[in-house]
Amino acid sequence: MGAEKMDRIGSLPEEVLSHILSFLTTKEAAITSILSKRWRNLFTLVPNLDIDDSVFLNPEEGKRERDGILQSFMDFVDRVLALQGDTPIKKFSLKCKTGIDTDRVNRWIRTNTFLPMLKTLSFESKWILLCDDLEVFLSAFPLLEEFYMADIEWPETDESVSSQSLRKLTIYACGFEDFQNPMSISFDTPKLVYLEYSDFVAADYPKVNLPNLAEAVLDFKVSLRLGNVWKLVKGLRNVNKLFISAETLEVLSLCCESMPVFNNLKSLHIICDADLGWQAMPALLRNCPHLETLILKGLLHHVTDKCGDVCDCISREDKGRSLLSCPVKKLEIREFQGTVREKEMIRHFLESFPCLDDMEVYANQNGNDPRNVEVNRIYKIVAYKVHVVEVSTETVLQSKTMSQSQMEEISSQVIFSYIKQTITVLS
Amino acid sequence: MSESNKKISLISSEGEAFEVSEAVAREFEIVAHMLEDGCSGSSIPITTVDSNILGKVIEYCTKHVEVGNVEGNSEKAEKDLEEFDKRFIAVEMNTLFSLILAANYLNVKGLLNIGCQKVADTIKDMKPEEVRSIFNIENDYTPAEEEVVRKENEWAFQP
Repeated sequence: MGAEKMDRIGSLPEEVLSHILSFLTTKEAAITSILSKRWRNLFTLVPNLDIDDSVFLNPEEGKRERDGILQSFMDFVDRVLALQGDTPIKKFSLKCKTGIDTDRVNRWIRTNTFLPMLKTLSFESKWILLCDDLEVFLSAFPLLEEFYMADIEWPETDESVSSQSLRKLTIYACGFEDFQNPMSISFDTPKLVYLEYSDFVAADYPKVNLPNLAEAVLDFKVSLRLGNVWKLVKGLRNVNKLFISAETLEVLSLCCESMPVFNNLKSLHIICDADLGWQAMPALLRNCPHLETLILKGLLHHVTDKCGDVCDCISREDKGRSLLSCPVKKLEIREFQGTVREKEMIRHFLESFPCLDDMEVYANQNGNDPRNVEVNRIYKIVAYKVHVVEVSTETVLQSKTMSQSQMEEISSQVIFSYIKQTITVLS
Repeated sequence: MSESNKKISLISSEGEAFEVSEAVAREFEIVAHMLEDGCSGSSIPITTVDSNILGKVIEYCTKHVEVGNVEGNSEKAEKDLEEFDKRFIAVEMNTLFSLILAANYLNVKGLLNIGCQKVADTIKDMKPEEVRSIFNIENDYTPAEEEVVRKENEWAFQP
């Protein structure tokens, strides 16, 4: 028999075929069930299960409304999960919209006997209320290391994220069903190293056990009851990298009295918003005794009396006092828009941070005002050793047509003059 | 003799000997295990792989060992290697399957991955009929059975 007549792909062993299918999406893999009897259930051997109903049910308009399609999809998920017996799923991802039977989805997630080996779990769903007992739910995954949930709406009860194995946790929630009764959330995850948390602030954080947390990304949204947010913030004190949104910074202003000392914090990223204030900035910077890098995305903010001493919004005698004790070495300004206010602030930072030796300014790259020639030309300005006499600056240009002299002109306009002033102030 | 200079002969199914450095031979995990288990012989029979395919697998491993040994400039090296992989795996189907089988048997993970990826890319946008014809898969479903399977995964088959 010539090789041409042989079932070529069929000569490959099953584990190789399932390896091939693992490079396909679950939908593409499922179509192979029609090839022959041998292929009927092969695709269920793939250890990564990626269920995204937008892929399954699109692209055709109206497909999900057609008779039997959603039913077929739901039956499929049931069947794949039921066939998992011998090949434990290592990664399970579920994305779905309305129209799918809520009870079934909850069962897919909750029928936990089939997923004891699961290491990664992610789902996005507006209405999954699996969390009427998150603690029990999580206890079904003793090896779970990564847990991602987005588009979550919490029920009214108190929740606890409790896991001995979890290392990475991402929560994107849109608050509670009923704002009158916001619930409490506890984090009891001793191995967690990464937390990304975006939600309305809960009424209470009774237990926060995060001794190994290294990185936190916080995006608090203001809710009716903010009085206990300090409990969560206190639990984050071991992080060495912290990202906070503009609204989070505002919420933190309620914690100024009880702000923990972030002894390990080396890198702090703050997003700013012209309508939101910096009231928490002085306390935050004072409580980061080992900060090395500060990244500010935007400088413009709502001026209040309380932010006065980190910025020079309001002239006052103790201006910059919080900055003087801050050991930050590298300052990065992003989305610089070239306004006088921003330049004044940069000068204030250069004058006040005593250890600064590296500064980078990035222009706002998206949605520039085309008339703002200065910003359009600058892509990036870097200044080294800003506190010694040999200062070097380097400007990377957005426009390739710039000449060397134009470039120098701009970098001196924007920051070189301030460096000179700073040196004068210091000497 | 220093380890890096040590030569090992790999014998194909036809009995042809391919002399390679120990570092290249160790890219075959199956050979690496043999060497670790104290198999000190300088020639190792690879009875299930013919000369043509064995030669190609050795070419793949040699390139990867060479690039792995060069220090610095890793980004360019990585790109070169990617290019090499792309050219290397652009072969006709029979050779591709033989390479995958050999990579699976000899346990050369990188080669197995690019081979399987290539097959997946090939079948991704094809109709089932086309996949059957390219891979000579005999459809052993009766029309009625096929209808059941189609019904089972209706959401996937409909456009």
